[in-house]
Amino acid sequence: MSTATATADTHHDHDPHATNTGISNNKLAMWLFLSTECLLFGALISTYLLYKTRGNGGVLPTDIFDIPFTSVSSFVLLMSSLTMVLALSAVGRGDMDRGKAWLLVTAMLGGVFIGGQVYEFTSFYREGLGYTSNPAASAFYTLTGFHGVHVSLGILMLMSLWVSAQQGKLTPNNAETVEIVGLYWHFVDIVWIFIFTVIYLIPPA
Amino acid sequence: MSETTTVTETHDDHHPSDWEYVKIAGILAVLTTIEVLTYFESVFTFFETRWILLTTLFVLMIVKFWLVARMFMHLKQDKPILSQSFAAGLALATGVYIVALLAFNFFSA
Amino acid sequence: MTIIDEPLALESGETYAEKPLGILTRPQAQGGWKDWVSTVDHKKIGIMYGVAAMFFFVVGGFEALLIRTQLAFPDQGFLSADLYNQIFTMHGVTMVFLFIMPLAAAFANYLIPLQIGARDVAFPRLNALSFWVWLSGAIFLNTSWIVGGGGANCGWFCYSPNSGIVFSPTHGVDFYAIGLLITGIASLVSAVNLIVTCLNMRAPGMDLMRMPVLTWMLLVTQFLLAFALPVITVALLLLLFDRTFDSQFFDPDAGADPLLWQHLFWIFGHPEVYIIILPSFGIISEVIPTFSRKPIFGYTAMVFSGIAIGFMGWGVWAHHMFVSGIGPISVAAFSLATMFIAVPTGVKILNWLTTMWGGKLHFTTAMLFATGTVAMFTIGGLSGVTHSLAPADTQQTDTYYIVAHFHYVIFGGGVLGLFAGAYFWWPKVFGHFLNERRGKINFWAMLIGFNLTFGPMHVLGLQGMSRRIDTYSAGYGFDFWNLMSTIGSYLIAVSVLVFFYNVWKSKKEAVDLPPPGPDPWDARSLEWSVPSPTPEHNFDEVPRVESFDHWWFQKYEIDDDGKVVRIAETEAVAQDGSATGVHLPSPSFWPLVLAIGLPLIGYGIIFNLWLCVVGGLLTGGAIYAWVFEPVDDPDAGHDHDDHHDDEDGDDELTAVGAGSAGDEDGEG
Repeated sequence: MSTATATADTHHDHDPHATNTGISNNKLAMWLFLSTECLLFGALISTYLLYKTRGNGGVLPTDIFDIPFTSVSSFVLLMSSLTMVLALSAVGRGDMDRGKAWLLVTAMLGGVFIGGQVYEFTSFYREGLGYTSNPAASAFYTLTGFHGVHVSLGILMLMSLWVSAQQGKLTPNNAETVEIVGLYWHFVDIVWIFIFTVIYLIPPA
Repeated sequence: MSETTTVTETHDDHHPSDWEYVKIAGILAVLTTIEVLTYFESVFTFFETRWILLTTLFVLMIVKFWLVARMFMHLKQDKPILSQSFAAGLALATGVYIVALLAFNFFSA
Repeated sequence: MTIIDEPLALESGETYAEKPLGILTRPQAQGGWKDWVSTVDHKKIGIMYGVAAMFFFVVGGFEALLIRTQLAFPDQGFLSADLYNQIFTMHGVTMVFLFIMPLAAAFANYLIPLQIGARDVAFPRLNALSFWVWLSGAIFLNTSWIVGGGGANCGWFCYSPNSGIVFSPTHGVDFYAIGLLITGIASLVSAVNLIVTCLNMRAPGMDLMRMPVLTWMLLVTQFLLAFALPVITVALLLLLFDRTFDSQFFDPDAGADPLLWQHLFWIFGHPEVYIIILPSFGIISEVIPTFSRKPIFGYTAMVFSGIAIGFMGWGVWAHHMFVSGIGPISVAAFSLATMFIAVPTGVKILNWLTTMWGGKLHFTTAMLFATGTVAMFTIGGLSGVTHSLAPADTQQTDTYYIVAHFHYVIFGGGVLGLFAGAYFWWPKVFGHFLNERRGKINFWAMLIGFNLTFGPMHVLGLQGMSRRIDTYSAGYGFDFWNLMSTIGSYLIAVSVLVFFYNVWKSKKEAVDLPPPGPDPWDARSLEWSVPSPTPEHNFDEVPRVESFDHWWFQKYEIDDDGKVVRIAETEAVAQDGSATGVHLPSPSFWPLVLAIGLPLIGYGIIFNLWLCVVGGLLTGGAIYAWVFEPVDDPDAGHDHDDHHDDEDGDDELTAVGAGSAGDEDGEG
């Protein structure tokens, strides 16, 4: 298998698809990028943990969390990871119709999550928790907002994949592109798994 | 490492079937349900004991994290170097920020 | 695989030459300015990094001279206190982020592919992007002098709450925050790119444990960058949100903890020290063996001590905060960790000395700079150990003793090493030598000037002169040593002028001198097996590496008695650079376009949000143009149809994956 292209590629003096690790450059780069993102979200989460009780006399995020609501939107995001792998699996099989459908469903589930976040922010704001209210509020909005921006970028990428699939540019040969976008999507999901437990579910002592 | 291998080889590994993916998602759904049940302390009174609550939540979180990373992100099938690089970032972040929070006496509060 | 990065339609409508050399597809703008702004060649990008870094060296050096001029005599009013604050802040920021880091990036870009036997980096366009984004951030940062009401005035560490809007009302700190965010994006992209290059693009046989020490140290540096930059990114964003959107991260009155900034800054800041120093360690690890005529002593120990330094660098950040009230347990723990980090550093120093021991030493300018690096870094390292002891540090904190220490490390250990690299690789990059006689004048002037500038600061610090004060009164015993220090700083300036004169004059003289040939120093690593200057395609034939120091073993072998025997003339085994039709990545304008968008967003955040829209459109448009450029590589599609399914996809996902990585970086 590994020599198949080397002979076909007469112009190159070595197989251009070969990499030392056996992993494509793109996938390796995405994984490295996700590793660095751990440090980014770690800093934001630590900031919130440090500040979560510092309300400066005002409302704290923990006072007004709507756990049942957030549970639903967390569940939606979790299930979007399922639809993402189903999309990848379909594209890998060459079943482009189903692949496109799952991509679209994934993006829509992400959209539902973002919608939920917008609703959550608005209702928190009505309850007196503004971005500038106190350190806890600033840290909460920045952390979840950052995550929201990541989800939104993911939706953008998914939609781009969907559009290029519509135009016929995305073929089963590009399954790895779908996989790489999927990696990003799952990462955003596991960050939320962490946030949901540590920020939302653990009640104040 | 010295031998170059083609990218294609990584694709020869067996990814789970769609049905297996659905089963994993089912497990994730069940775990999430248990997580959310901890919120209703009045019904499940043993969650009022803090260490039980925290242990439950952290174990569930780690299992969910692990399942998504291993199965959905294919770390199980892919080359170990990917797991290693991700684990490096994760471990570094965990270590560094726990130490930083320790310096703020966060855990003794 | 990314070697087949796709040609992009140029905005100007410029046409591509139809296969001028076999399948070599490039735009016709060869050699002109368009070639430079659209290039994705790692060597040209390296050269541009170097040139731009030297420009900012002059800027930062000028700021240093202003500081020293102000401090030459007691009670001077040459600079106002406010301007003094701005100047020392911008001096630090410029030297760290706009001089040493990009100069190290110049070496990394130019040398990593050559040393591992690759034609280019893994993502050539992302490489161009890194450079242009860095440059745009650097220019943005310095425009605060003109449009921001002055430079940042909070020190390069910019502690809160001093950095808040109350104490720093001008836009200087905003420019600091956004400027460093932009250059951070550049470094992050570049770090991921170079890590993938080292891991994935090595020539056959080039095991990880056969890579030259320089490549290893640069690889460790890139890992440090990749993991440290997200931390400072968060810190800078929080600062920016505090100043721009009135968030409450660093306002003690609202219950926030200003120490949060210090922790985040130094979690980044201490690895940053190793980001600065490790490339220089790598460079002298190439220079010293070459001019000692011996292989590097303890290669494995060199590699692993470098990794150990990189790893331990994460566990010592709070030694910058011993007097901030972090508590006795934290102080004790970080004090111990700091002492331990002297161990791998000591291993390195020992190995350089043992490499020289018993060698046939040739004191060329590069070798002089390299030995100077070892000596000066040792002094800086020793003074560093003195403030790993928290009680001693309590006395030294915020005095000139600290200034002396970190200049011995960063200038003595970092900059001297980079100069060693410049003299060493100059013939490889530009095809002619730098004059050795002027080079030695450059070295001695710099070494003496350096010690005259920073040596006295030890004394001043122990006498109690504090850092960052804009002047001092006569009669405290500060006068004499401050004057010495100022004289020294002007001597450093002279040495830098000698360097620039040497660059200019050597180029003029080069026409009358014989060319250096591929391997003028009789060196050891792969870049010396190709002609000087390096041909565009690097290697005619990708080398098959059989051992560490593979190139040296092409020329020599060790006979049964352990004696070194020459087995081939350099010219006989070197490549002649005559290959044609090598497929190279095609140039692109999009990295530049994307890079122009980012500072516009920056100005927008500070002055007028509408500018953000313009910048955002430019950036977003460039990303989309980049990602969705049709794949029409003449080579890619048709050849492989009958082969494995996955083959064709690779080229396209090169583009998409590369773009999507840039995508996320753009927001972070």
